[in-house]
Amino acid sequence: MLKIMLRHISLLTLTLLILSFFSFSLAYLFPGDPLVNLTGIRNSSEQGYALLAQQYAMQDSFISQYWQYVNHLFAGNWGLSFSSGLPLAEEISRSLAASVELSAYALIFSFVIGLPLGFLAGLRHHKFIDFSLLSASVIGYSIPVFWLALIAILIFSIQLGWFPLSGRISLLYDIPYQTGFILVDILLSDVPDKEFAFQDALQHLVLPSVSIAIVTCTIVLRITRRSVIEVMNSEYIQAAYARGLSPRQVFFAPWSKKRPYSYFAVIGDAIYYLADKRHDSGNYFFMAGYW
Amino acid sequence: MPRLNLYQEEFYPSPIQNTWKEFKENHAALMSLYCVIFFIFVMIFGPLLAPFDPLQQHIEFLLVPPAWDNNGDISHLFGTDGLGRDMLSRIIYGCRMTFGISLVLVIISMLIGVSLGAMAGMSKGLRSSVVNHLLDSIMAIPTLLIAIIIIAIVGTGLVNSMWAISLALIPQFIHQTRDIVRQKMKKEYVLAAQLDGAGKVHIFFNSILPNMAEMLVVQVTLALSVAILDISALGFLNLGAQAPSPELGALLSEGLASAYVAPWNIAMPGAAIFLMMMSINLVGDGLRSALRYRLLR
Repeated sequence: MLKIMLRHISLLTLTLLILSFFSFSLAYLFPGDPLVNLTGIRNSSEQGYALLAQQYAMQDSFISQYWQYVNHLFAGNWGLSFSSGLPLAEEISRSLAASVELSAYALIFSFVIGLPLGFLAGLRHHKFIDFSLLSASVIGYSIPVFWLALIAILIFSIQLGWFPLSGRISLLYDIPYQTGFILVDILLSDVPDKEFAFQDALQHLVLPSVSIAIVTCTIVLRITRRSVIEVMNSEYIQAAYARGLSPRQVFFAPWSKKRPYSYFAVIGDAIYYLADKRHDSGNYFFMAGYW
Repeated sequence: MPRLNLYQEEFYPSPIQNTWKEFKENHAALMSLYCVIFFIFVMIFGPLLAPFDPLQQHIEFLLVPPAWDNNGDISHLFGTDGLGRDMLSRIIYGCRMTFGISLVLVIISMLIGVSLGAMAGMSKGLRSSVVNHLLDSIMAIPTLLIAIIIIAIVGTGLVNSMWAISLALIPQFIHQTRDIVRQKMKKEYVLAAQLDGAGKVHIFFNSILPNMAEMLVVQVTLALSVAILDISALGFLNLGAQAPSPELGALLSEGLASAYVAPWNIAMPGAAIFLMMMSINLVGDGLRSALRYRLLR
């Protein structure tokens, strides 16, 4: 156990090292002056430029430059954003909270819907319900999410007028910025009509989170189904059926020490695969920023 | 002279025949195979099928709805856009571009990825561990993000986005190939070839490659749907194909300007992407389950 943990931690640090080196070399690869690319400070005076160059050790070798870069990263000094001119760390923490919030709701949605359906499909393997769920999941899996979002806006916001068009909350409510998570902010704040503000924010969240969730839900469903089928085909399940237990007993009875573990393993599998980039769900969450 | 065939049960279908027999049973997969063939047909003969030039502007037909609408016109089956360009021909050319480019990209990245993966899988010790760690760190980045970073370095444009996507697709092929090669290297037929004195190259081409070809086809279908999604997403974000060129993602982002008055301008290209991805995914699924179950029946 300890050995495995150590191995994975060393892998993690190595990966982070390579990634940070990669992001540092981007400053040289992007067009323009590397120092400007690193700090994001344009049009600085000559003195300021010299000071910055000293801070980032631009005269020294590539490796000491990299060392300075890592030091700055850990100190929270990430440079300025090119598009807005504000410090990048603040900028990211602001928009990251919005993305994380949206992704979290989409993920919760997709697990609440996808896991039970996946279990259902897996337990009714090669029956009608399995085939219909599987074909529905292929449809959801193949929809380009940016197009789905547009169609959802066209139908539900413009044609039917059920949901607001864009933004995170109506301009009527002025919610002070605290955590960046809009629902938490509303609960923490002391605006007069708290419930209405909360409802309004929820209405703003429904369309984007549902349209992302449709895609991720199908992925959860497929992975859960696959793992359930594998568990149900294993020998101890066959043995339980051979002993004359009903399907319900086999599914729920905690008589085997292995059972709860294998259910957890199924859920863990699903989370692992969602995070795994081979299945490319990262792209969908990435797209969330473009809403 | 016909071969005398007394015992019918002596006929053993080849693995490919087995796979096809199993694949045929899955009607949805078969239908989507026809759909993919249709797209390939459109890709090759698109210019002959399209009624108009995709860039020709019909000034008297601006924003005409599709033919099944009351205000529609039969000469423009899918309607026209804000500049009076025929939507059907634009979509035909768009399918041609998106599908054809994705196919080329996937084939290129397959060739590179498989050769690198074979090297990674057959080497041992420090070299393979370095390759593995590098690969794991690259796999941690979403393909679309890699593509966007590369585009930020080399600039926007269709050709640059093609480079970016093929570079982003390669790691998946390396990973898959490496795993399969590792698996196969432990088989006895590889050991037999080694005992006969075969070199690494010979073993790979004669013993391993024939056995992994089917898995590669499945991986290609997966990569194809990713490539189509990425190309159209980059076109949609105005990072890939630029505005006048009829690429499906670029069509979508152009249709966005007139989405309120002409929703068919975003519905049609999106539906084309959707149909393309769905048929490819279904073929991939059908193929995978056919490979899994072909020997069980």
